[in-house]
Amino acid sequence: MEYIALILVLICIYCILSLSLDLLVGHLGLLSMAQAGIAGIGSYCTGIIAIEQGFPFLLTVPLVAGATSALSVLVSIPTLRLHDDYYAIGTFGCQVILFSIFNNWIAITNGPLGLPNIPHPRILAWMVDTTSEYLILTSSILAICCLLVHLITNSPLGRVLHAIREDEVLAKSMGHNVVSIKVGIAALSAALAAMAGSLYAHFVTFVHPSNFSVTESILVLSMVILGGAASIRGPIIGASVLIVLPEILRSVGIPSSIAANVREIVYGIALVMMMAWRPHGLVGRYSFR
Amino acid sequence: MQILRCENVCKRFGGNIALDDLSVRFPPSGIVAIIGPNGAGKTTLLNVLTGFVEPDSGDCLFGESAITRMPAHKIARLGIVRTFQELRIVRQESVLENIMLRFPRQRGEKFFGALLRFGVAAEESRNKGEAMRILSSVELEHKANDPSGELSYGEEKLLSLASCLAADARLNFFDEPIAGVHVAVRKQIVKLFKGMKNEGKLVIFIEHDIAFVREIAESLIVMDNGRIVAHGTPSEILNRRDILEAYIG
Ligand SMILES: Nc1ncnc2c1ncn2[C@@H]1O[C@H](COP(=O)(O)OP(=O)(O)OP(=O)(O)O)[C@@H](O)[C@H]1O
Ligand SMILES: [Mg+2]
Repeated sequence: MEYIALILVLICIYCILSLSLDLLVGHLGLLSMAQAGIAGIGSYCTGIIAIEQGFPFLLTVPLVAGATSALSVLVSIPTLRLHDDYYAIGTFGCQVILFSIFNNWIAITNGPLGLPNIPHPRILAWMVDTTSEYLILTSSILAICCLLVHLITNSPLGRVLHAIREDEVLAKSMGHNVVSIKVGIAALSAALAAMAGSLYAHFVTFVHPSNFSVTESILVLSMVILGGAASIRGPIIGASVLIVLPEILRSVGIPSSIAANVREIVYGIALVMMMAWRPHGLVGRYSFR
Repeated sequence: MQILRCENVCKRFGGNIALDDLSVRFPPSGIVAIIGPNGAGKTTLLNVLTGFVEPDSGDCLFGESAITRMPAHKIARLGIVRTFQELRIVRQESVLENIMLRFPRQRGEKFFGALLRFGVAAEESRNKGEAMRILSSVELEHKANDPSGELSYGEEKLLSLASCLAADARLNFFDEPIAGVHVAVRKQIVKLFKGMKNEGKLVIFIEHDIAFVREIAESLIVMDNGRIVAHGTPSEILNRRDILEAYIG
């Protein structure tokens, strides 16, 4: 029971993260490779604030989300001028920089030793200690995120985002300030990703640079593409499949050292097959071809 | 009445002079055609006036506001819309959504408008009614919910022109609106332009089809090598031997 709750919590956290990435990838057509790095900012900020200041959860999360999205605006101003593959490469660069900051700025992040002893969150009088309590917390935050993304994307604004995704020049000729819309959505996406990072830090009580590496960014991107971009169900299904898959591999008796590799091979193959036969993912609407 | 004009505009691409000290003043309303050989600088002029290309020197004015280096989206918001020579529509959205995208100043397009939804549903249904009216005026209403990527070339072109109706702009630029379309669609386009004119709007179009120009334009500009070589009524210009020989053949 505990085990299942634990997996469900992880699924919820990754759902929030892949929903946040889908705002960029699916709705704006921006193939970002830095989402894990951004979640990492959220995790580290949470860790540091929670350990040193002992702020309550309801204060930490908005603070961290706000700070991360402000930072992402600074980063996105240069990268958002890039298009298509160049944007992917630009954000890849950001991801590499973020990872080396996590790994090398020892005074703040504790470097490769990681940041231990992050307390469990406290919400008013509620100490969220057990995994099932944590599941209640993460799933309610996930529900809020779904509602938020739904309102933004199934609206006239969503229509504008899709116009920008397909043809920026046309969107400009319609009177839309493409750069500021992209910056705004990137900020929202970063805030959601930071929230996921924050939940992760509180849950695992330990953050380590390897949680926020390039591989992790690619994993989140795979969740979006596998499930189907530009939808709410897509990233949720993608995240669930890619979290449950390695657990199944482990349960059939493949040792976890091999399972890690098998997992990457399996989802590598899955991605290639998706691109070839179902470019809009399992349930998505937006085709990458 | 706000008048669109530009003065001494120059634009070069490398060693290539696309606009050579060009000045022009458009009427407040009516239908103006721009003709000229390939590479004359017609599209570049349109791009400069709509903010998609920055001129090297010279000024563009719309009424009293200088629009020379204004970003394209701000110029569009002044009520200057355009289509593109290479056809641009949002192919992954439906025909109806392509029109809906064009209504100016939608509340639901703002971040908090989308989140809070005050008055957004009413605005959407009002716009939808108007969009269906526009679609039926060009006989595309039966395709309203089709993905616009599945339209034929002529229908796509018609959609891109008709969507400008939703923008309800004072000034409408069309770059080669009838190139490659069938006579039936062409008739629709004639009707559409005349409708815009009757509403007191200004239609400016670039075209190579002289018969179309003769049929519909009230004023004609002939361009060559980045300059305006003739400007007047079509009947006057299209009867001039020198123009006919040099530019129309
Ligand atoms: N973005 C650009 N980069 C480089 N050169 C350009 C660019 N746009 C236009 N030109 C050049 O400027 C000149 C004028 O081009 P423009 O597109 O304005 O011609 P046009 O009159 O619209 O021709 P057509 O009838 O073929 O559409 C051409 O020589 C063209 O090669
Ligand atoms: Mg042209």
